[in-house]
Amino acid sequence: MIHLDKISIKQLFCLVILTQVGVHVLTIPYEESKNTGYDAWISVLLCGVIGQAAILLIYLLGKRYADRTLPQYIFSIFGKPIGKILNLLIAAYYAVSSLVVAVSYSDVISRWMLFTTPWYVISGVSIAIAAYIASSSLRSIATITQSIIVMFAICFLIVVISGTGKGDWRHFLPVGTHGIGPILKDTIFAFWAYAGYELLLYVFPFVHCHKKKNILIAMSAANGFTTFFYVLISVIVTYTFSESQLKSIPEPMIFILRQFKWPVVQSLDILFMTIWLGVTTVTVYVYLFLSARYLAFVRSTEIRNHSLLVWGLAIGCFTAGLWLSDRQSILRISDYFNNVSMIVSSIIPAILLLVSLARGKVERV
Amino acid sequence: MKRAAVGIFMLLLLTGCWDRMPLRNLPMLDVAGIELNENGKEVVLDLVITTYKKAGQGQAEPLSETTELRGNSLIEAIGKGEYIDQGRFLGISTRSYLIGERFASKDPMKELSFLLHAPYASINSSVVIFEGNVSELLKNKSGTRKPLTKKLNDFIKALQMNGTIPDISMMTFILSQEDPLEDVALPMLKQYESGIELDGALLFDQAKSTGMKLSKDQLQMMMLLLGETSGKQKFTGSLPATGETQQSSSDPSKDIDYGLSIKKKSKKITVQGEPNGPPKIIINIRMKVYVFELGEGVKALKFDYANRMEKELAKHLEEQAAETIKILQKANADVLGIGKQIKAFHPNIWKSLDWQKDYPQLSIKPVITVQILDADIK
Repeated sequence: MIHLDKISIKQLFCLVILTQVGVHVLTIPYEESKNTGYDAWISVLLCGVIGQAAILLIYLLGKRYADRTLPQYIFSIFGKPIGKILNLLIAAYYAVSSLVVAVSYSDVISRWMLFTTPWYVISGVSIAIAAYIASSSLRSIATITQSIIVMFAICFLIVVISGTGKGDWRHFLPVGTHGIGPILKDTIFAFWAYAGYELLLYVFPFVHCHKKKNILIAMSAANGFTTFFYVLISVIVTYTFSESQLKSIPEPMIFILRQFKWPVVQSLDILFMTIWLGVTTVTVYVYLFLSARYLAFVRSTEIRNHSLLVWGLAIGCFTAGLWLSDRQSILRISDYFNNVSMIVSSIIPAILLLVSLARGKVERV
Repeated sequence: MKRAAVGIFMLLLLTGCWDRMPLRNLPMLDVAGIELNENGKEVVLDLVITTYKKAGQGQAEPLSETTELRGNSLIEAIGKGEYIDQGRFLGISTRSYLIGERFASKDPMKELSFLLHAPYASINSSVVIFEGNVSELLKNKSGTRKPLTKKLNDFIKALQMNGTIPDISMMTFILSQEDPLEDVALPMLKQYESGIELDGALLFDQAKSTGMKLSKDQLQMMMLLLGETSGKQKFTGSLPATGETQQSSSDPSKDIDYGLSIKKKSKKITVQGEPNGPPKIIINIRMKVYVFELGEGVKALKFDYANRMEKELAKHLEEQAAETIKILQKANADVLGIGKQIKAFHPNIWKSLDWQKDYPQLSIKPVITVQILDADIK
């Protein structure tokens, strides 16, 4: 019932891009520049490359169990008890991810746009819309995502246009003076920005394609595009601000948009943030959907009532979100999440693949 | 049931209700004048709001109103805005910040920095310095219904468009305190009879006023050295009569007036490392110009004459440029981005420098080549 039909390669492409990009667009490359300064774009690029490697792992894993989703085949790799615990942990990870994304963007909105609107309304509406979409089938989700790509295209255009403002190419030079150590260190901060491709772990059997290889190509193209988008933003930011200036601006993209002069639209930043809400919502509802799907497999039999699970999780997220209206706690959770997302999106697939290879041939169910 | 649920969601979408701001009731700022009072203790903030009368009938009449707020700091003055006149002013559409000279010379960043993170503050508006009393200018003029602020804004915009003054926004100005390589020169305006005129630029070192000024001509030269002059800008002046180029001419009537516009220009900064001691900097400017006056009146320019004048002009401009650079160095304001150039392309030399100390001592030489494009062949 959850997946009446399969999704197309094109839909997979949109789904991955929009799940990857989210709130981070506004902060890139502030966190990534803590050690690397103006070389932050290299860290961002490098993280995209690592993401590509992880996609390859997930693809190989998915190909081995082409007819099942991760929450189903996890049992044949680790056995029932450990599989159940892992499913529960991954479900929790997705639920918290979705909470953090929703709350972070609500925080952006309440700091820059809607000052007097109560917190519970902003976060409540973001979560409610996401939950409503997440409670439908995978195919509906993919179709909705496909339409939201238009909003993303508008935002992309706004970013490119605003990036043509005043700046200096000399901010980039000399390239790489911060050394390879700091660059690698800052790559970790970018992990969460790239997280999202691991949805393939679940989606793999539902992609309609002639050759399985097309899935890999679509995934790589999507990740490549996200990498390009993030590097582009890093380049625009570094072009506009020098290293020491960047240190005092935690949300460089907002400032670039605020600084842009255009007689037609007064505050490009507000326009951008409004449209961007649609793009971050994708991340929230995809995570919410995945969380519910993993949660469905924590018992011996699959829990069939998907929308009940989604709404339950959404209410949980909303309740937890009420205590997260201050920026400090959001930042603290985000910091912690950089590491967790690295584990879920790269290390867990790697371990799964290794164990699965060690177990030898896959029995077909 | 499902429809009812959707309906409830739609209601939730009307969340703008808490933050709605009906456009016609908004006191939108036009110009913000910031000044210190005579004894230098109180910050005086003048907010000009321009509204249009009879806008619906198609013959809108602009009407400016000024509100003066005072406080021990800028923040305090703004805070008082909640209780005065139209109450809570909205800075989102501020078109320019007019900063009094007294205010600018007393660590303006202590007061202005907060604007960067204040929502609804316009940080992309230009900042200009006003010589003289800001509040008087804004109060007098706006009281008489004359839309001075529009004139002022248009004037600033035109100067920027023509490349006469640098376009320094509030954000650029505030952020320049973070980086010694991003120094700025803020254009200065002064009152002139019933209008306003450009009077040069005030130099800032990491957003602190150095108290040193560039004259109008020097500002133009600075723009030329920055490579930001556009074709719209006209260079006019007078060359000392031939043969007397070294000293200023004793007889001004013999001077050759010139007027030219730049068609094409290239700029290159070369850094020559010295084995011991600071590097030598050469700023190379090559420009192709159209001449509309060069002492020849209506006659077409002769080839030989043009050739000779090219050199004379170049020399004359070089002298002016050297003078401008000297002032910039004395003020320790690296407006020309020389530090950036060394840091980017000569990291080894950069490591050996203590920029704040070494910059005023550097040898920076302008080399200007002029090519006249509209000379005759004979």
